[in-house]
Parts: sequence; C-alpha cells; structure tokens
Amino acid sequence: MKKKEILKKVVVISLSIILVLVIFVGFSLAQEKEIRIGAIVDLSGPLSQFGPDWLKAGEMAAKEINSLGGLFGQQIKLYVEDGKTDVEEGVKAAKKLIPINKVIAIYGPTSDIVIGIMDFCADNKVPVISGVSGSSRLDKIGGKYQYRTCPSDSYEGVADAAFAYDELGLKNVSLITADEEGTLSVSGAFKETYEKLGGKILKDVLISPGQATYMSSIQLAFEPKPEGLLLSANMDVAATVIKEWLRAGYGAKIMCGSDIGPGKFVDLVGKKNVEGVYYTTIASDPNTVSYKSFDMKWRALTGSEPGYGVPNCYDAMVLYGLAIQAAGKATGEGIAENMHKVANPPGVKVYSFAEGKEQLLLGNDIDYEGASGPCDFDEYGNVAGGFSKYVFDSNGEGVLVKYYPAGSLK
Amino acid sequence: MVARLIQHILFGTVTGSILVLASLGFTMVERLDNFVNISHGQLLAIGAYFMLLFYNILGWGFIISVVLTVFLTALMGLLVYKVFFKPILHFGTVTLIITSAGVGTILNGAIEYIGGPDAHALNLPIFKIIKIGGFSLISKDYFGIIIVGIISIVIIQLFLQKTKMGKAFRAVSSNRSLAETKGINLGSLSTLIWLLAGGTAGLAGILLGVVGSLTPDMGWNQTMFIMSVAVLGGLGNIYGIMIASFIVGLTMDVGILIFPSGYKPALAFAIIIIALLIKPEGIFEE
Amino acid sequence: MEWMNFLVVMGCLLLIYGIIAVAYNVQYGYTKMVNFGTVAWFAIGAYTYAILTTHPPLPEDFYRFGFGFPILVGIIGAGIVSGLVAYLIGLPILKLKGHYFAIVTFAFAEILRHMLINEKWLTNGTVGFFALRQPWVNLMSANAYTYFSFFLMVVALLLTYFLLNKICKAPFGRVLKGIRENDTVCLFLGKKVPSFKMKAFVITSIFMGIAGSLYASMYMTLVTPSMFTSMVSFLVLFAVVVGGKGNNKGAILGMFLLMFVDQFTRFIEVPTSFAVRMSSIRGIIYGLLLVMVLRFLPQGIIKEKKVIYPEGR
Repeated sequence: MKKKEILKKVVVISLSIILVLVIFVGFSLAQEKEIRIGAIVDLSGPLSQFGPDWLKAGEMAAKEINSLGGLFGQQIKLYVEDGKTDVEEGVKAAKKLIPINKVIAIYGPTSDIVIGIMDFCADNKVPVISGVSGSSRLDKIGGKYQYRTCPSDSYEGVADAAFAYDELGLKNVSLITADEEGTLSVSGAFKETYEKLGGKILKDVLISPGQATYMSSIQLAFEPKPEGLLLSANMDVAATVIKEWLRAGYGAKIMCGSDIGPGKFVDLVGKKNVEGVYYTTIASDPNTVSYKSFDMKWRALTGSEPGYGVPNCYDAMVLYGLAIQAAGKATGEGIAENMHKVANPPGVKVYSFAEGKEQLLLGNDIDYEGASGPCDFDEYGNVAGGFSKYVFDSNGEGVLVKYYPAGSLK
Repeated sequence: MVARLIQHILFGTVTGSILVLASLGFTMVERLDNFVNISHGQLLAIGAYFMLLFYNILGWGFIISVVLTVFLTALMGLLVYKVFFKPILHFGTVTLIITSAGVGTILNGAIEYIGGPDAHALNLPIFKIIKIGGFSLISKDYFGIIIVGIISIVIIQLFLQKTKMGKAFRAVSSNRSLAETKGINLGSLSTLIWLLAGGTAGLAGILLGVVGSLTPDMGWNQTMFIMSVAVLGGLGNIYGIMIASFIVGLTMDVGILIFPSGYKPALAFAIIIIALLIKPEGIFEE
Repeated sequence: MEWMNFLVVMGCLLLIYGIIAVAYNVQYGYTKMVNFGTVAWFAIGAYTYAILTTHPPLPEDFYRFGFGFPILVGIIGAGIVSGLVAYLIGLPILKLKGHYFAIVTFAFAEILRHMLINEKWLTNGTVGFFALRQPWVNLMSANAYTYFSFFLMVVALLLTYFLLNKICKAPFGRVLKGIRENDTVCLFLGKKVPSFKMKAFVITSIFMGIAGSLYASMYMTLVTPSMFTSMVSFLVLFAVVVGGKGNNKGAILGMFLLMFVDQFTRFIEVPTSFAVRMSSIRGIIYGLLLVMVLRFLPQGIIKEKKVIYPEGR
C-alpha cells in the first residue's frame, strides 16, 4: 500500500511540474516583437458552421497587413481561442488571452461572449471588435472599447417585418422562436415593427431546443391559419419545423432569420424540401470598390463566395490595423482612441488597408469604407448595415429577392 | 376544437411511444442490477448515429439499416456493461451511479468526436398527414412510431410473462440471492437484459432521428425525460414506466394547449416534482 | 511574472469550485448523500446575488426585481436563499434512498435551469444579468484587482475549509460518518438521523450559494442560464470522487486535477481543426479518469484517515 501512495504523490507532483513547464514554454515563445491580437471565434458549438470562415477572414486581413510590412515593422500574430458560443468559455478564453498571451485587442466573439468579457477587457484597456455580435443588448452599451462591424439584430427584425408586410403582402403572421437570446431579440424587433406597419400577430410560440418532438408547438403556431410564419431559430430546430410544416401541409410562407442559410442547413432539411423558404443575411453592397476587391481575394483564398458575416469580420481586422497605424503604437488604448478617427468621416475615403496606411503615413485623416459597408461607428460602437432577403430555389440555392441597404430602414 | 385535441393527443402518443422505448432499457437495468444508469441516454444517441451511418452515409436500405442499428446498439449496451459496470457491481449503488455519470460523459465525448459538433439529419422522405373527412390526423411515419411503440410494449409484456428468461428476470429483481439458489443463470440473464436495453435504446434513437435532428447532445437531452418517466412510473417498475411514458408525453403535448408554449419541457419536469411530493417511490405499485 | 498572473487567474476559478467541492464533500464524503444537482445551489446563489445587487429594471428589461443592494448584502443573501431552498427541498427528499436522491437532485437542477430561462420576470430569461458589480473594483487597477480577487477567494476557501473541517471533526462530523456507514445503527443509538442530514445539507448549501455569488460577482460579472448546466455538478462530483472523499484536502486536490486537465488541453498548440475536437476529448478524459479512479482507487487519491480509537475507551 505504501508504494502506491508514494507513486501517487510522484504522479501528482510531476503533473504539476509539467503544467508549469508548459506555461513557461508558452510564454517564451511569445517574447518576440510582434503585435498580439486575440481571436475568440466559435469553432465548435451551434455556430461552428460559420466560425472557421470568420477566423479565416481575420487571418486573411492580418496576412495582408503583414505582407505590406506589418505595423511599424512588427507582424500581427493571432492567438486563437474557441469560444463555442458559450459565455463561460469566452470568459475563460479572455482571461487567458489578456494576462497570459498579452494580447492588445480581441477580435471576433459572438454577442453573449462580448457582453461577458466587455467589462474585463475595458478594465484592461483591451478593445473588442466583432463582425458577428448582433445582439440588440449591445445597442446601447458599447463605446470606447467595444465595436462591431455588423448591424444589430434590431435592424434585422425591422427588415423582416418590412419584407413580410410590404414585399410579400402578408397581413397576419405567427411566430416560432427558439428560446434563446439571439433569436428572441430578432423576434422582438420584428413584432414591434410589424404591428406598427399594421400587421397582425396571430400566435407567438416559444420552443425550447433539446426536446424529442416539436409537433404540438408547431401545430399551435399554424392553427389560426396565418399567411406567414417567422421562424427565428437555429439550424436543427428550424429544420425540424420546416419538415413538420411540409408533413402537415400547413401552407403559409415561411421566413427565417439569419441563423440559417445555404449549405449545411439545406443538407439538414433536404434539398427538395426548402423550396420557397425565405431567409435573411446581413448584406453588403456588392458594387462597392472595397467589396469587389475583398471578394476577389476571398475567392482566391477559398474558392467560394463569402458567406454570412465574412466581409464584416474582414473589415474588423482591417480597422484594427488602421487604428494601430494611426495611433503610432501597438496598444489597446491607442486603438480605442483612433478607431472612430479611421472609420468615420471626415477624412480621405480609403477602400483597403494599403490605401489607408498610405494616407496615414502622409499624415492624412482617413475614413475607411469597408467590404461590409461604410463602417461608421456611432457613439456605442455600432454600425448601420444592410440586409438581404433570399429565397431557396428548387436546388437549395439562394436567390436574392430584396436588398435593404444600410440606413434604408427606420 | 375537438379535432385539435385529438391531434394533440396523437402527438402525445407519439412522444410517449418514443419515451417508452427510451426508458425501457433504463428501467430493466435498474431492476436487474439496482442502479440508475445515467449513461443510458447516450445509447439513444449511439443508435441514432449508427442509423446515420448506415442509412445516410453508406446509403443502405431503410429496413436493413434499422436492423443493423438495433443489433449494434444492443451490442454496445452489452459492451458498456461488460467493460464498465460488471467489474464493479459489488462496489455499491452509489459507486455505480457515479460511474455511469462518467461513462455517459465518455460516450458523449466519443459521439461528439466521431460525429462532429454539428447537427445531422436522417433525410427520410416526408410523409404528408392523412386527412379523414377534412380533419388532419397524423402522417404515416408518425403513425408508424406509435405502432412500433405498441408492438414493443406487447413484445416486452410477452417476454416478461411467457418466457423462461422473463420470469427469471422478474424473480431476480425481487430477490437476487434466492433466485440464484433456484438455479437461474444470472450471467446469461444479465447479457440478455443489457442487450435488450441497448436494442430498445437504439430503436428509440432511430425514432428520434425520424422526428428531429441528430446532435451530439441528444443523449443528455433525453436523459432528463427518461428520468421523469422513471420517477413517475417508479424506478424498476416496467409496467409503471409504460404508463408513465404516455402520461408524460400527453401532458406535454396536450398541456401546451393550456400553458404557455415555453413551458413544454418544464411540464414533464413538474410531473417529477408532483410525483415526488405525493409518492416518491412512484405512482404505480408493481 | 506572467506565470504568476496566469496561476492567479486560474486559481480564482479553482478556489470558487474548491468551495463547492469542499462543501459537497461533506454531503457526499461524510454523509453519503449523492447530490447530482449541486449546480442548482450554485445557480441560486449566483442569481440571488444578481437580483439583489442589480439595478432596478429598465423598460427594455424583462425582469421585475432589481434591488441595487450593496454587494455584501448580495453575498449574504445568496447564502441565505440557498440554505432556505435546501431546507424546503430537503424536507420531502432527504428521506429518499441513494439513487432516488440522485435522480431527484439531478431533476431539480434541470428544472431550476428551465425556470431560469422561462421566468423572465425574475431572472431576465436567457439574457440573464450582466455588468454585476465586483466588490471594490474601483479602488485599484485591473491588474491589481486580479490579485485582490484571488486573495479574497483564498480567504473564502480557507474560511470554508476550516469552518467545515471544524464541524466535521466535531461530534457532528462523527455522526455524519456514522450515518454514511450505517444509518440504522445510528438511529438505534438514538441519534436523530434526519435532522443531522438536514443540518449537513443546509449548511453545505449555504456555502455553495456563497460560492455562486462570488462566481457571479468577481469572476464572471454576469449570470446566464447557460452557465449552470449539469456539467458543473458533474465536475464537482469528479473532483470529490477522484480527489478523495471524506476528507477536504482530497476535494481540493481533485479540483486542482480538474483544472489541470482543463487548462492543459487549452495550452497545447494544436491545428485549428483539431481544436474543435478538443472539447470532446476533454469530456472523454474526465469521464475516463472518473471511471478508472472509481474502479481502482475507490477511495480517491487521498484516502480518508481511519480514526483509530485507543483501547479501553
């Protein structure tokens, strides 16, 4: 028995030593002259379909900046953590990135995580920027250390309402909403606007994800025979609802939010089952100079179209680069002080990092117009943004139906 | 109004059928080995994912995929028993429960690792609802689920009452040592019960795949409902479970006509609370 | 100094979970109450703190109660409410046997989580409460605050450890152990078993609630229902079982091991595609460790000291 005890103690002690060593190794590698930016992206979890692309967009921007000589001769290095769309994971990630990896800024988290780490980051003078944190909770609490290059969910709900009432002419609808923060905020905004426009909400059903069967909840929503249904839920719940809708032959037009799109979702529902279903994406004006050049670079890198949130993430990283350049030093404070200056008018309009850097070196003030939109921050770090409504065709591909440019909706 | 009620009752029956299959194995194991196997929910997920493998990825026929899935999940159940639980059966109930929590985590991790964190779907054809006289009733595949549920109940019933093994099973749970002296082969009985547990779980998993999508967490999600059924019906009480499954299913799907929709799963859990306050051993006596 | 900073940050979380583990140890290790719903009391503590200290509701908020009380009120309130709930829940369920108790506590934790999501008037639903105030955060720089909160946590854990230890070494603790070994004998000896169990249950729940309030205020500064899943209960269970039941040092060791596995799997530099799978691997490691320890080291790593009474007592 005694030997076992000693053995156990040895194991525990050696494990501790290994842990300390690992930490040391981690640190020594981080001593070179580099600009450290932390990326908290959802690589696993409910948004894992999108996460890797969001990361790629940021990496692409960073590479671009580095290839132009970096910032003050220093290269950007990204420290990547998986946020898993989970607040706790995000907080743990931030608590590792800031004190340990000594990042000066954080890129890319989704809404819940942004809210969770905002105060901690602000206290440490680390700005947070994201291309995908759309929650309406962030509408009024952003500021110096928190920015987003994507429009708020509040706008998405407004766009959905306008589309339903004006474009599709639906006078009454029901809603099915997943009982989660992001989906609830879109539904809420939709309801408000839709009723203001004169539409009637027939039934508002909440669904808790993770059940065996949803048929009864779905039936509740369709029972009053609405002309349309707003389906604000993530992929697997939405897939189940649509299949049930087909099964029961309920009729009505189905409008989904931005949680679904072509690709994985279509596989989930079945290609032949999605025809006629509408969905939303945050949209950039595809005709701008910035978008076109970004689009080219993205296709060259990945061979496919930029997906949901990708241009926004790209712009986020570019803005970091420009803000650092403008600040003259690589610190979080510097970024915070210069973000508005490089993103908002007045200034020379620039459409890429290269242009921006050039102008800054000439001593000019700039106004970056990004791939995702004008990227003009208000006092809370928000931008206005455009939305597009698509419809699935018989092949499960999306067809553009209507584009609402930034600022066109009240 | 009546038509709606009927439809919701049918929905509740479908939910109940799936719950019956999901909870049967759980109950049988509890009765035989006297512990709560928290990892049972994972066997459902394993079944669903096997079905995904055979039907979707390999593209084999529906019937053969079902048969293979049930068979393999049954084997998985047995394997889990032999590797994790059998060696420590004498360690006591508490250890077994905690081990089952650990096993559940291992299986969940394995499923997530192999299947990936994203959702999948079985991509079965969608059957339209059958309408009789203008009233919507139920679609063919959902009706099939109810049939499967009923057939399974009948089979289990026959097993318990008519077969030698079944009677042995009932004897063992009341008094293990006495049963042993009477010459009942515990080894082969255990094997059979665990195979049955795995098999029913696999079947339940397939049904879950029919009505919804597959996610790595589906095992844990169902575990709560299985527990509700088990508590209501009485742990180890097979007939109680059968009735309890339908009570839970109906309460949820019919209750939604009355209560706010967001509370649907909470209705199932509320049943636990009520059941426990009135009669913690379960509403039904064996 | 960076590694110091890291250890401090990691340590904070470890200490908070450590409090729960030590408290849980009294339930499980000493009294053999298999509570699978520890996260419920953690959550109750955290949310009570949030409701007591957050500002009164604005028009856009769902919740109706926000009192804006000072932080200390929040922490004490968290403990009190947790204890109260433990008492109320304990009344019907403490008499249940081992595995019934386990299921019931598990179910209670899940029901509580659904309530946290659905009772928007109380808990603000899935949005939860954020921007919770940290004690004395304005008095110092962010960096110093990390060390300060660590220090506070150490104090809290030490307090918990000593308080609970004292309770357990005292005759109260011996009775608890007696209940674990054979509660019928204890009854026979005239000890009021149910009231002892209740006392242990309530006292430990108070500590868990306070741990929850510390977690909400100092570490996370927000509460959402997604933070309180059954995984937390499982982790506490893991720590106590693996570390060694029946003694508080073991609980802390178990927590340390848990944190180690958690952080180690974060620190290894792996390609991004593999990182996605890391969380599932982490789950497998936890489960495997737990199962193996239970099988081969049923007493846990740090065994309980058997008290040997000198002859002729």
